[in-house]
Amino acid sequence: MFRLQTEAIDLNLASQALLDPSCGAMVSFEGWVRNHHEGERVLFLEYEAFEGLCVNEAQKLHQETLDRFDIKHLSCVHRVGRCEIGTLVVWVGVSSDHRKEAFDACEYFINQLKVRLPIWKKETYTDGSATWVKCLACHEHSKVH
Amino acid sequence: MNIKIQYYAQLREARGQSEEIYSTRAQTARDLYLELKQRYNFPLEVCELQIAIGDQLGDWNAPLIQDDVVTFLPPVGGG
Repeated sequence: MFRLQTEAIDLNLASQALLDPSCGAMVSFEGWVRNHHEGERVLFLEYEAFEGLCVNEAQKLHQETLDRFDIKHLSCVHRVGRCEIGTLVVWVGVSSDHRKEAFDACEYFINQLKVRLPIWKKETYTDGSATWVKCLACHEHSKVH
Repeated sequence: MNIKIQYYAQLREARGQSEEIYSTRAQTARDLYLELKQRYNFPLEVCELQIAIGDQLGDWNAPLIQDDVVTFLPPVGGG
């Protein structure tokens, strides 16, 4: 399951999709808005997404992760709109029989999300300037999106 | 032909709007972007973008069709 939303992420609600009596492990990742980036003091973030394509690509990534790792369930919620410092902006949860596959699948999904899903992030700094942030991994590898 | 174009992030800001119906003789998405880049002084090169037709990733060189919905995707930065 993947969802984009403007409202705060409800962790109890998000993790409902992971509940399964056959699972002995649940791993989650929380991405928060931090107050600095590459030496700049960040005031807030704004996210926007191309929802139709984003949902399609997230479904492909979801299935790809299920095929690649021995996990039972995966769920992800991503915020859009303005997000203040400390806000939970992305949550990924994975449940599986054992912990290792859940850790690996969770890391894989968030890493791929950052380079593949059509979501954009604008940072506004304390000096009033602002910039659209490129995925660092793609920038470092000069990967064309 | 008329093409619906959607803009996000840097391109939305450069264009000043999130979508438009645009009349063009461009045959491919690549030709269309180059036409728009020159017209609106877009800050990004083709090599920095991905292309979507409708809600699916597309091919820069595929022929455009009347009423296609074309989206030029700037470098992403989710998470």
